[in-house]
Amino acid sequence: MQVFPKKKITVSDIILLIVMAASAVILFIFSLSGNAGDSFTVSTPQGEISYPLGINKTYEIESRGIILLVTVFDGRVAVTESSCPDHTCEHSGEISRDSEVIVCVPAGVVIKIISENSGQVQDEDFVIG
Amino acid sequence: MKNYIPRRFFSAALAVILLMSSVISLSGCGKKNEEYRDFNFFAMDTYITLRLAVKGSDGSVLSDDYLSSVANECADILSDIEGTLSAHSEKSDVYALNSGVDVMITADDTLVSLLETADKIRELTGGAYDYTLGAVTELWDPKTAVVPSKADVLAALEHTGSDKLMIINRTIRKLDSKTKIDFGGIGKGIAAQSLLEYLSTTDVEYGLVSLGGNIGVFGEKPEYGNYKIGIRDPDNAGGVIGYMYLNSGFISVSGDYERYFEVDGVRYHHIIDPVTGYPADSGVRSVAVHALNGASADALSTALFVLGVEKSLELYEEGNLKFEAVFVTDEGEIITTPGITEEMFEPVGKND
Repeated sequence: MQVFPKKKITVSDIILLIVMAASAVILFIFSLSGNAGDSFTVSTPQGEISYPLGINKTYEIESRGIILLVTVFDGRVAVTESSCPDHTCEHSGEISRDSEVIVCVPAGVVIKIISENSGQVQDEDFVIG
Repeated sequence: MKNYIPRRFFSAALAVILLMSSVISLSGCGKKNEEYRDFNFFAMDTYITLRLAVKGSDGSVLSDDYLSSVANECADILSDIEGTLSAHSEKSDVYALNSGVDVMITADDTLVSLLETADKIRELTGGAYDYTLGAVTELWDPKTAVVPSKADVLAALEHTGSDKLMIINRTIRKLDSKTKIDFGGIGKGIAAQSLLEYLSTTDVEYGLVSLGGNIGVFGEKPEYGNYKIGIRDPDNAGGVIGYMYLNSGFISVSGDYERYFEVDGVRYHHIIDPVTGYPADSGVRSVAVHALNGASADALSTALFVLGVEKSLELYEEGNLKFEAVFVTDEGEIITTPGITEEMFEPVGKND
């Protein structure tokens, strides 16, 4: 009969755990938040402006007499309030992946994620719904 | 024992390298932006995306000027269709029909063809899709966000039905002054189909068009073969319930989650049951329909949402309309028509 002796926790075991835990935390943070260089654009009939995706903030966008509150939180963007008549943009939820958009037709506004180095890369050709 | 510590360190190093390489591989992936050139604009009261392959049919790279000219032609096609079908444009035939009391118009080929198609689908779906429902749908406009009285709904229902229109050759006459045509459930599907017919004559080898809940794909994709289309999760705008894989045809989605308004905590969505005159309550949150015809896909997504799963499957079994569908029920269950194979639809966990 083969006997396996109980292994003791060694210094190297602890180092291994620390290294793996630190790596996991870094990867987790990386996957949750947009890179510093990631951004989103807000296109209106007046032009296009780029905003950073890494700063949690609410922006007030005005277009065609309609005011949209665009909120950035942890690399995700949503229209949290709109004075437009149909509120479809508010119902569009959050976007975070490259090329995802939120559209407000009455205001002529398109909000689009621009992510050159994001960990969240689309592999589908399109999302419908 | 002497070998024990170096092995551990080797394992640790390996783990770190694996984690780092996964990060690097994710961040360094080739992007679809290099495969396609996207054109986006507003038309037909929605946001249009043309996703055109940069590589031409002879393997050469198509110039920006050429792709732009193709996109401009697509915009012109949509403008023409909108000019005929829009219920809001004062210049359109549909606007003239809807606003007049005793109207008789000579319709162009687009409108006559669309009326024939819409009437056929109305008949085959037992009226679940109804293009004559305009007097009712305008009562439920999310922009006004007012719940109409039951009396108003019942009164409006009196002015629906294809018997309120008389079509002889290209002449259309309205027999009921209050009847209104609403092509909202089919117009974008027709438009997607028109765009694909045009694109098939260009040097663009493959790609897709998207018009507010309607997608049409064309050409043969190299390497992958099929297009991978995510179907939005009704409960999570950032997530999908699964992916449909297709190499031709159209997908249209109807759901209760974007165009709606709420009064006293009750959600009133925009898909109206032609029988009751109220937002459909068939136990379905969304339905994605695949068909080889854009108008059919669009109109059927409305009809199947109204019918619910059981009656939709009966319609499927009748076989008069060729389609496949993916339903998401009120309970979050995903149900597919029998023709949906594992190769055609890949479900994912909710909120993935």
